[in-house]
Amino acid sequence: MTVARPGGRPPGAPRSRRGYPPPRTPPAARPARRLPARGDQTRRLGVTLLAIIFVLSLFAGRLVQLQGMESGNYRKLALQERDRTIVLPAMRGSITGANGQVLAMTVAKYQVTADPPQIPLAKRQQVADALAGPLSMTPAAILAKLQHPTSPQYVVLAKGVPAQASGQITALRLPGIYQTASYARSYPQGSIAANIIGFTGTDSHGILTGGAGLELQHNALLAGRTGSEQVQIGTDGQQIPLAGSRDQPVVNGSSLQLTIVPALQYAAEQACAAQVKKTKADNCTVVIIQPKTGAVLAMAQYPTYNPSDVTSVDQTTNLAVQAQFQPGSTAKVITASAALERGGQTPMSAYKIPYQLREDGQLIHDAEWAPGEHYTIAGIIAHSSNVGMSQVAKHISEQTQYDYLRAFGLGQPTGVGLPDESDGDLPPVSQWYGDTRYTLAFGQGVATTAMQMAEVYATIANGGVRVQPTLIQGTTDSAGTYTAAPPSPSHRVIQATTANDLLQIMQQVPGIDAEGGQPWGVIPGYAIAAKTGTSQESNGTCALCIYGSSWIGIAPGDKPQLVVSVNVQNPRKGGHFGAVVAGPVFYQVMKDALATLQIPPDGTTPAKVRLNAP
Amino acid sequence: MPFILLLVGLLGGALVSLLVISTTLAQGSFRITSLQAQNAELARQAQTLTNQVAQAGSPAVIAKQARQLGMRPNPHLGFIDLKSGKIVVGKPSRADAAINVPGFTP
Repeated sequence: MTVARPGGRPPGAPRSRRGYPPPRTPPAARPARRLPARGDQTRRLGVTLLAIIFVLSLFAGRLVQLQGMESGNYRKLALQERDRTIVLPAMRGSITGANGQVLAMTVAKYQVTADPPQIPLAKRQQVADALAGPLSMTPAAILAKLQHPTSPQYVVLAKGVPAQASGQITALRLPGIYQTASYARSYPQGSIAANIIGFTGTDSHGILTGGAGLELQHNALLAGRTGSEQVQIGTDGQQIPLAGSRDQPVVNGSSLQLTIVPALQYAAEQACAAQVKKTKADNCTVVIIQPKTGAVLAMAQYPTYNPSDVTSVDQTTNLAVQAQFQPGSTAKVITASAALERGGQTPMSAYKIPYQLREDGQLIHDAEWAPGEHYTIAGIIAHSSNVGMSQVAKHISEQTQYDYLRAFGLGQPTGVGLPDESDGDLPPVSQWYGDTRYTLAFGQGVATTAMQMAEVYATIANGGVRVQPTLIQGTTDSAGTYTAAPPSPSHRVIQATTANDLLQIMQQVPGIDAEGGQPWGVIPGYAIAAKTGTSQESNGTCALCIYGSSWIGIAPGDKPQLVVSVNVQNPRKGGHFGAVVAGPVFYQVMKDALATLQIPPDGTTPAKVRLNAP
Repeated sequence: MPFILLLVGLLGGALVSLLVISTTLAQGSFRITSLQAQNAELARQAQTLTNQVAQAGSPAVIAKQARQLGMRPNPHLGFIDLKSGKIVVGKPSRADAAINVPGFTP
């Protein structure tokens, strides 16, 4: 114990610290054990402090990160929880007839879904029974869906449920039954005017889109503009007030008012259907035009289709503007007016009608041949002589003939405002054969649509001024403001005197046909101008075996208000002449039209026109 | 002391008015939701009725119902001059109708 240690206690120094205090010694002389003890404490404090500072600064850093740097992101996420962008689908405008009768309208249809766990097991049968009526399903079928849902909490019970049934379901207040609404198109008149109106389908966003006819042509106008509304919603689905919303207002579609008179359209469709069935024809079209305004009052066809149940696009073809046929004798008036105006001819110019005519190697003969007749031009038109018209055509140049055919609207769309309108087929003079001028004179070697031919007669009926046909009377925008369609563009095609001459000549036709046992142009009280046509066409298997029968008439008298054009293609039973096949349809439709439109009898008798030359 | 009362009063007043405002707004919001539902229901009814009227007014339906009543389209066109009361065109004649109106006995 006496071993001296450097810096240790000197030997002999008191041992105990509990003894009297040791003499003051300089710090270096303090016992070495005390120094490390005090330093330990401070260090621990420092470390803890550092740790706390470190952790706190982590917190602070995180705070800065959350509140400062990433705050936008989190705010966005939070808003997303509450924010709902409500898409506001625009309501598609309706299509109405001339008298405001609804032809196409938009209705809400509902999808009914169920959340089976919300329906107590004991109540399921009861729910199924209650829904059976409104959904037109058997209770068993509904129960099966409730018991075997497509996913645990969701099953579609029915789609396309009409508003009335949906109202009944709402009134039942059944648990776990939900409905979502969507727009659907309704055609309350069924297939009436389907060929004009077209049909609609839904695009990938579930928005109604036109697929044919006016629904397609005026799709943008009818559809309007989809809007959206951004709102914040509470837990109950109600909007949080004053939470701010950004809106894109919805603009509902405009409505179209047509010139079509539904009652007339229906009558024409019925007459067409009856005649197609009776004559076993391919099809029948009827076009009714108001010559002064170009308004199309009816554009009927058979076969037609149900716009609510379209099975193929082919059936939606509008025959009056998309199907072509050779017009035949109804086109004679065009070459005749060219000869009257540019060939130095008058209605009384005389022609000999031989048995047949050989022109440029082509034999031309008449349908009802009367050998050795002497006809005036009036007689040639009224008796519809091909041989006569071929001679009349010689008085004008090919170019003049072409110009008149073109001016009357052949070889170009009429502009009636329907999609995919056909031009028809009028070859330019450079492509004519030697006999083309003769065949064109009686309507062969050219293809037209029913609409084009109706327009030719509307031009004559309107004193030689051609008015572009139209189907639209006006539009009503979503605010309810009605805007009448601008008047159709018009231009003069032939002189008023020429038109009047042709009208008087054609007033002879009903009498001539009546003598032949086909009185389809005779309506007591009215002087009717008419022209029949029978054309022949070839198809892949036979030559000139397909007949097209037409009857186009103008009434009443000298102040025409109506042109009715009928065409029946490929009749296979009961003859094929225009007078026989298309005549009855014309008679029926013209009579209905005069009565429906309340056109009073004109009291005139057909003008006396000399048909036989001396 | 009055100062504290003032503070408490202000604070309490603010609280109460806040409560009133938010309740009113929420009430308005609920009312909007309920009125919107009512509006939708009425629009639905209007649509259904318009559609029904259009269907019933369709020429095809009228023709069918008239037929069921025994009516037939008149094949003869006739006109009466209302001034003179005379028949201008046509001859009054019977259509081949099979009259079938309930309560009608010829």
